Amino acid sequence: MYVYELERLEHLRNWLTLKNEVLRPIADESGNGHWGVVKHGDVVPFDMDLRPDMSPKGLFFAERETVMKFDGTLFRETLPEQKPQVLFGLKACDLTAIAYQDNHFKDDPYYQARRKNTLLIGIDCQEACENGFCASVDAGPHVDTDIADLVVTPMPHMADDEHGWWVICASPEGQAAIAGLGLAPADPGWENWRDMARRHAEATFPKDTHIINGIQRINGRAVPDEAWERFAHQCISCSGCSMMCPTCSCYATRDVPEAEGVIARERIWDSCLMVGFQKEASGANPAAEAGKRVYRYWYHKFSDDVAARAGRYMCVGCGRCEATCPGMIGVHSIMEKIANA
Amino acid sequence: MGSGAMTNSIVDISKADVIVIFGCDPTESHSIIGSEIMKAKEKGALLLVVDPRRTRLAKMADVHLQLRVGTNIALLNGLVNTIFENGWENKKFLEERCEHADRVRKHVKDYPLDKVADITGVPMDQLKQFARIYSKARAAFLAYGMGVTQFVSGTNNVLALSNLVLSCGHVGRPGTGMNPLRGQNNVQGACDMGCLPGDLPGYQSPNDPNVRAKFERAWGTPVADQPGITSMNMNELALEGKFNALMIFGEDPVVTDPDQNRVARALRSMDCLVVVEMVMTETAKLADVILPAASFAEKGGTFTNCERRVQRVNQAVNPPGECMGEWQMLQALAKRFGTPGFDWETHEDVFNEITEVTPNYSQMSYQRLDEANGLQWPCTSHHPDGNSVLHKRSFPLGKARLMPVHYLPPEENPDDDYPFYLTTIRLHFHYGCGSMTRKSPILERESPEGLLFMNPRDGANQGLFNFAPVGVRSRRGYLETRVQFTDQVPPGLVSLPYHFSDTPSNQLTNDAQDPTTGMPELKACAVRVEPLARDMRPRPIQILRNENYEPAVEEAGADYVRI
Repeated sequence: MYVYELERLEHLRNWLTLKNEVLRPIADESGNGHWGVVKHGDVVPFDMDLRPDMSPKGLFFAERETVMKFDGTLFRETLPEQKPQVLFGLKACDLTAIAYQDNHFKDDPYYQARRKNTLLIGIDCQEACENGFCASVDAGPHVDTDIADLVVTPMPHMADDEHGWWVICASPEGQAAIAGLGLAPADPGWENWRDMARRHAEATFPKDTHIINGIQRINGRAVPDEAWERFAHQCISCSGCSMMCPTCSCYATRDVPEAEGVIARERIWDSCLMVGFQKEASGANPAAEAGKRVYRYWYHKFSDDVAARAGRYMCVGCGRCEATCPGMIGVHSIMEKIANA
Repeated sequence: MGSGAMTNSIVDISKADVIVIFGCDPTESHSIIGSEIMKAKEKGALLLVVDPRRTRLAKMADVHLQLRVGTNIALLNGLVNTIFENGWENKKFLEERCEHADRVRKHVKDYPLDKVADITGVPMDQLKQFARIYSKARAAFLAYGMGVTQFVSGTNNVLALSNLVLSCGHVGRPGTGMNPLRGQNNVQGACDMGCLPGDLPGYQSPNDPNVRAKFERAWGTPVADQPGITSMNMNELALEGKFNALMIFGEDPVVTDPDQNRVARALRSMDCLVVVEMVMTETAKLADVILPAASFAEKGGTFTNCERRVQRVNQAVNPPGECMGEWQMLQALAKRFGTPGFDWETHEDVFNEITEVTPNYSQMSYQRLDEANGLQWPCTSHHPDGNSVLHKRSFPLGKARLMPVHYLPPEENPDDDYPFYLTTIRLHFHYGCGSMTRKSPILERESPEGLLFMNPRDGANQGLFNFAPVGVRSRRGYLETRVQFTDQVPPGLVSLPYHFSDTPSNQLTNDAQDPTTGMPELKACAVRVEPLARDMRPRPIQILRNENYEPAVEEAGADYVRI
């Protein structure tokens, strides 16, 4: 694995804009982060602490897209076209989720069409973020080099001093992307420094006993149905958690009539917390009770059964659901409740 | 007590130790406020809910008074009586800040607990428990909604409510207040701007010659010295041939106003109906001219929410085609009419004019709104940073007045022919007439059609099954839908959401009005539920109308195509 030294992240970012469309977290007027395009020559400093409210999953698994058209005789697939793009500054949680989705959507041509032309640049987090608990679910705070093309990690420094970066080439595509930038190879010993930084970062996480305890109780079926039903009183089926969640991947389809005799089939993000999600044409619904739906949601995020199939828990510890839930049953709140149920 | 707005702010929910939710369902209709209430409840606040329906918050509540529809005043008078009888009232507050407390004290003696329990159907010990918790609270936040106002006795309901609040002194401090939740995002702003028949902007009265002079100076034209008429009145006058032209901005009264057959007749009888809309609504189908409106994301300006906070709306994308903001449309019209005084260059100019003529807005500007993340009126030279709590030291009238009010049942009550009360509700998946939210595929799947909510016991008595097709008939109209059993409604009460143009609750509702405000009685009318053949599909209103089921309404324009 080749590792180089980099003076400023903005240099690397600018270099990548030459051949790709580069997206990076930017803050809008209200201070919320989202993924925005950075143009060549743009000198805005890279904000390491800014994490977009929405996970990047929508860049591959579109919120709403046409998947095929039927004109009465022929079905035509409508594959998206994706120019080369770079996601610059992905945190470990989001990268872990992308790796999960890569596996989940491995046979999905729409997802793959966007994904295969995308370069992922990860960045190591130096401390816990608000609501984040990636360290508890093996998804951070440092980026696993199996799941990114390039990883940037800060060199040792004092407080807010200017510091350099190490660039770790984690894939051949990553290596190719920086060819020609003329970076100096890193001194040996970078690995020790990175490891130490990780341990420092891990030490900043608040206690996670409610998470660990909650996972055990969910898997031990130790939470009674009445308790789930009680928690579900506070779920208004807004689906905010599913929309924000970097690993939620359910969608609905519907046929939209276009011109005479032509229909377009769309797929749209869906959420298993909605009552219509599993409703059958007869009106029967295996998950008619809100408690069952809330249980299913959290069971899927933390179940050992799902983990056995997917290789890890679905939850990557980003804590976005906690920030968005209007009913006080995001991940931290619900795990506290489960621990006390 | 003063003007129609929350006396306190949304943040006060977190400062209260008792929260009262009176005749509204904030988790469905004001989800953010509902969320604040849940948070406060989790932190230990006591939650009291007054609602004929067992709403989500009612299920979480410490006390739920499940009263009969339309018995608010009896209930409130009974509570005030209990408070006075036990000496739980806030004597200092009544002494220093209020008048006529004795009149009310004497008046509510007519409402002893046993009589109130009889009228409302709420057990006496629950009433007493409520009175004790509310009156002994350190700070009690009271929110109310359409379940208080949408009655013929709407104004009196609010007066009875304010008697309760004043007698316990729960106003003028953080965490307290009497807080109406508004029906739409900018209803508060519209009222502030004088979109009320009797007001000029800033709730200034056209009866006051000084006010008139001020506006005449500012606008360079005489202003009306008579109050205008309410929208219900417009319908009446139109049917009498005395009201001939109307311009409607972004509203669908054919779906959202009571007794829709009558509304449609009224609109059709006009010489000229202009509708400014984004989508083809039932009302727009009746229009002579439809003007294309820009959506919230396509125009700039301000919205004012129920906590009196004026907030900037920033244009995110350009409006498509010939769509434009309402101010631009009015400006273009004024130009054609040759009327001077509409020559704003930007929406900021419009706002600057607002701040000049509206004392409550006088210290606001776009820049200050941006910096402060919105400002809460009154924002005057005395309070340049706005006010989160009103009536801290005094009321607009000086002393607040307690008003004795009597209980009167709703105008129409169940009888042998129409044995159920019908109340209208909102579902959080849809907004208003549904013209926007029903375009979203997932929301449409979640609640694709209006359902009639009914208690399982009533359902069994009627020989119905869950999702059975039924006809619902009132003295004014008929519609078909499916019935859904739920313990949300008690026996004797059925509820129907008002978002759906193919099963419009306003086929059935009564347009009897509150004599003061003209607010129609949308929350109570009498209906009959008629089982249909088991395998029959409920027919949408458009088809029923064509079959001349009810007062025939001939269709204007194209067929009904669901998009």
